[in-house]
Amino acid sequence: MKMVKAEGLSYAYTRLTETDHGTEEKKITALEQVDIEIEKGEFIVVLGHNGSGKSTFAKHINALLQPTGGTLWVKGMDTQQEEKVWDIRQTAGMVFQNPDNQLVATVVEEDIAFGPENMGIEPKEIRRRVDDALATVRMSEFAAYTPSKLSGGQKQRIAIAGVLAMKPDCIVLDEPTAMLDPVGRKEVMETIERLNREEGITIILITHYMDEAVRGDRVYVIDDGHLVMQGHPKEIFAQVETLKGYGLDVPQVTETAYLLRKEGIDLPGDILTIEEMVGALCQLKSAI
Amino acid sequence: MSIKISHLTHVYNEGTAFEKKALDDVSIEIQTGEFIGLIGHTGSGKSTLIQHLNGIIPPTSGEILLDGENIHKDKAKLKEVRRRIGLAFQYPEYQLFEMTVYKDVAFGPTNMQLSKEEIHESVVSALETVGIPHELYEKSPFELSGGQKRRVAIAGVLAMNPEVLILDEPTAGLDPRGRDEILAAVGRLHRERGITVILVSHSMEDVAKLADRIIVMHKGKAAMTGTPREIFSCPAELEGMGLAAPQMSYVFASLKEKGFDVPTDIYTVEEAKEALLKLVKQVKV
Repeated sequence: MKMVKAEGLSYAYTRLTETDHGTEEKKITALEQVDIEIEKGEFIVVLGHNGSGKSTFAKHINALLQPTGGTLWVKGMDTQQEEKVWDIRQTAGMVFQNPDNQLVATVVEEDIAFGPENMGIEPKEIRRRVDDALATVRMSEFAAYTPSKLSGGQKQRIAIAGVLAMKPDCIVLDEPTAMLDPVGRKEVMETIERLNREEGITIILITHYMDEAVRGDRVYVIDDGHLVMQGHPKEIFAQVETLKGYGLDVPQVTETAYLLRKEGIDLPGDILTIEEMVGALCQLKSAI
Repeated sequence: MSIKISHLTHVYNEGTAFEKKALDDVSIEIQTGEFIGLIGHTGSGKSTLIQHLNGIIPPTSGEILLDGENIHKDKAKLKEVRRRIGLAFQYPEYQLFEMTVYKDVAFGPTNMQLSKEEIHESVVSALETVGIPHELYEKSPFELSGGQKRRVAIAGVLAMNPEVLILDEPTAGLDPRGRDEILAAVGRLHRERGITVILVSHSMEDVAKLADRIIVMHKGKAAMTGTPREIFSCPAELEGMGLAAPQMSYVFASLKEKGFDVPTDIYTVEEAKEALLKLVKQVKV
């Protein structure tokens, strides 16, 4: 069974605008005929400029939005079945951009216990889950802290722990590092990668940072509500011009390699990291 | 207008259990027309520093001199200081509130009791500088894209005709296109108006594109200062302060380590391309 499957997924809504001539109605299609299949344990990255529809897609996975056309299944559960909503949200947890908007309690461990408490889990098991979740995000020593005393990266890790305590199969993260500094970003990315590798949790990461995107197993590019590209990061980022056309960026090393190839320098077309760039340049030297 | 920060120290919650020294004996001088990149990880003191510059928070000790005069000497003049030093906060689009783009930008100048013509001139000139086209003037600011909203918010500060513009993380949370639009607008306003700009950011790539000089804050101190070229040629030191240099700095540092004859002060894609082409040709000869 696929972890997430979308078939002809569409989402449209009407926006009302007040004008001098009364109220104007405008139909907006945020997603149109999107087909996606995500396997258990995959690390998926979703790219697209603001307003492309990628957050709308993410909110469907958590049943925060219902499709206006087509169907989305999470672990076989149709998100339009109302009685499944709680199961779906427990299966696919969500972490948002702003760390300050998603912590609810005044003590870290109470915040993490919030989810399992609402699931009616017995106290002993809650205690165990909270401790495990804190250990997984490497925040055990902060259990008794108040969230307001933590850094942005630490707060995001607490938000992730809160989702983990509900034992999800899949975590959807909507630009979790956008408001963080380089250290915070690194902490959160390491946590996400560890959850994927060691806990086998399916990750769906929405981001604008291309250096984060290159770390996924597969990349989806959404533009104007359509799924326009999908593939391994190496396939996606080799298409520098196409990506730029969608208002996206490529990592500095990828762009430099692309420019050098255009000048006739024999470099591989799929350089994504600093190490790969240095390696390729060294090889080039020894070949000559 | 020159800004001189002299032995500035700020302690939050002094005398309580939460006492924290956010700024520790900082001395910096900024010349008229400079473009300063202010970088540092969260909690390094950069936001506390810029809030001192337009008098939002008073120093615990030390002083801030504008054209040689201490800004806190005469409290009645603080309002004038805040007009001359414009501050666009993080996520400035949250502060939009008017019915139309035009009215929102006009709010500042209207409160300065200018004539109607002067207000109109300031508003149009500010919106043109940040690249907001005329057909958007009568739209609600809430109908705009994230990048557009933010540019309108910056225009609101610009319409007060400040001599110094401080931007706190102006590209945070934007997509690459929105980011490029903001940076282009900031570059343009610096060039066209000749005003001093202080850009606070954790994005080294952004700062590298625009700043004449970079100040790195670390643990409440101005830990490093220099041109982007000087600052980015020491990626290891930046890492030690919780920061990162642009990717290209690492590539060249690594090539140098492996014995290649390359410069280590390269940090943009264009420079890297030229340097690497030269390197390859050298090897061929």
